[in-house]
Amino acid sequence: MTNENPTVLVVDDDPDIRAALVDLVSEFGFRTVGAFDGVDALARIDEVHPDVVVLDNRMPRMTGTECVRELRSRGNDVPIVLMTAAREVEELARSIGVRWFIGKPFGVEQLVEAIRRALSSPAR
Amino acid sequence: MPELLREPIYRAWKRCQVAGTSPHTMIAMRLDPVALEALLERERDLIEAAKPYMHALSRAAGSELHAAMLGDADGIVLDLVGHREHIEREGFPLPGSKLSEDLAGANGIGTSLAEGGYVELVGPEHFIEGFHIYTCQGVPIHAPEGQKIVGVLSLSVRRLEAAERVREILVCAAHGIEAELTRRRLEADLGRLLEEEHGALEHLRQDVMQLHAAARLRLDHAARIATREDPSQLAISAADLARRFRVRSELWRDLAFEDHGAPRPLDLQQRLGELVELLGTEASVRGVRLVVAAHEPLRVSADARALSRELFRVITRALGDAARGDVIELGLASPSAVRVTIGRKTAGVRLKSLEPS
Repeated sequence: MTNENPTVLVVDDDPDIRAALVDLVSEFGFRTVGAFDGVDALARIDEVHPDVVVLDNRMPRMTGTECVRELRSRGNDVPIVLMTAAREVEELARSIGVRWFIGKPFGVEQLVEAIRRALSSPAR
Repeated sequence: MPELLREPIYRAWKRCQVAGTSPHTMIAMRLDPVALEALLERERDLIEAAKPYMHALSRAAGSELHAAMLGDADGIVLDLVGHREHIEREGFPLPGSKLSEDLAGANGIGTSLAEGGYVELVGPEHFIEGFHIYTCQGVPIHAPEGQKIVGVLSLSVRRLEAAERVREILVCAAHGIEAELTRRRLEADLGRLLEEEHGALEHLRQDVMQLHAAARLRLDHAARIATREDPSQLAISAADLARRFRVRSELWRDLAFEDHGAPRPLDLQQRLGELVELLGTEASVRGVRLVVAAHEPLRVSADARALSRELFRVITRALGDAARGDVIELGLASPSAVRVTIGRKTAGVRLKSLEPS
């Protein structure tokens, strides 16, 4: 990790999940910011320059996979942790070049572990 | 002295007296290692489902001396979570120990099973003197299909204030475990169906998982803040999410299996609302707004599964016909038909499962 308190952007259209994750992840020493879908996430990324993005896949307006493709096409290589309830989590993540992923439902410790790995790895 | 005992405690003490339980000594009954191993294997689903919730409960108890315990339907301890030092020093019952009322007197596990509901035993309310230093709470865990009790979740702490703080979390954790068991059964049952018909069913499955994830995270959040403030609102919202998850799981099963059930009374307006809620995420992904027209409850007698499937097809067809930005309004046209309005176009759809045969 490069920063003392890395910033994590949590993107989920479900307000219950988003609110719980913003609070829970901050308990582990991260600065957390929320966004409600892919379009909102792109705007928030430009504003807050997060160290890692925790991204749901199935969202209205712009899905997680569309958001990742858009980000990469802009040359932004921020590490992504993909959250999904899809059965083929790994295949989905691989198809968009995302290395870190987590299947729903999950415990917050599992997510924080994925965030830490994403932050500490040089390959994004 | 029955007038000094609360009603459930009095009933428990009566049962203990009838069973000849001694208030001075606990009969230590513990399974031998081979029997314990077989039991743990048999109950593996329950143990795995309960694990994250037991840790959440232990976190909520914080630095208090405590043990979160999981028992099976006979009151045999399956798992134990807490500070290892505390557990060893206090001599909490280990996996394989049987805590039914006849052996261990009134206690968080045995009494909760005997009463079939939440119980709390404060200090001397325990039948056996050795337990008087604890406040113990227990709540049964039900099978996915309903009333059958498959286990019990319990928390023992030294201080009453700590017990009060985590009471709602304990009850919500039991709901969470039940939801987890439902999820596991759904996954197992529907694996084959999903292989064959991936599209709509996979979307529904994801929707149900989403709700379950929200409930679990809410409870985790409540457990973490329990040590410093009142977590009751969060815990209540986690319980509500777990309840909605169960409703959706049941709907999902109705939709996924092409079988029939016996006709039973149900509220058509409510069922329509539940299906619209179920498909809410799908609608928002398509950029369509799905609403139900207000109507009084309408009681009908129907095969709930067949009716759900029929209504589901009506709504998914409407979603297919609608364009991004459209509003779809669904309403009851008669006791056997629904009205579907997309923009300015309205159509009535008769429901075969509600027509007289």
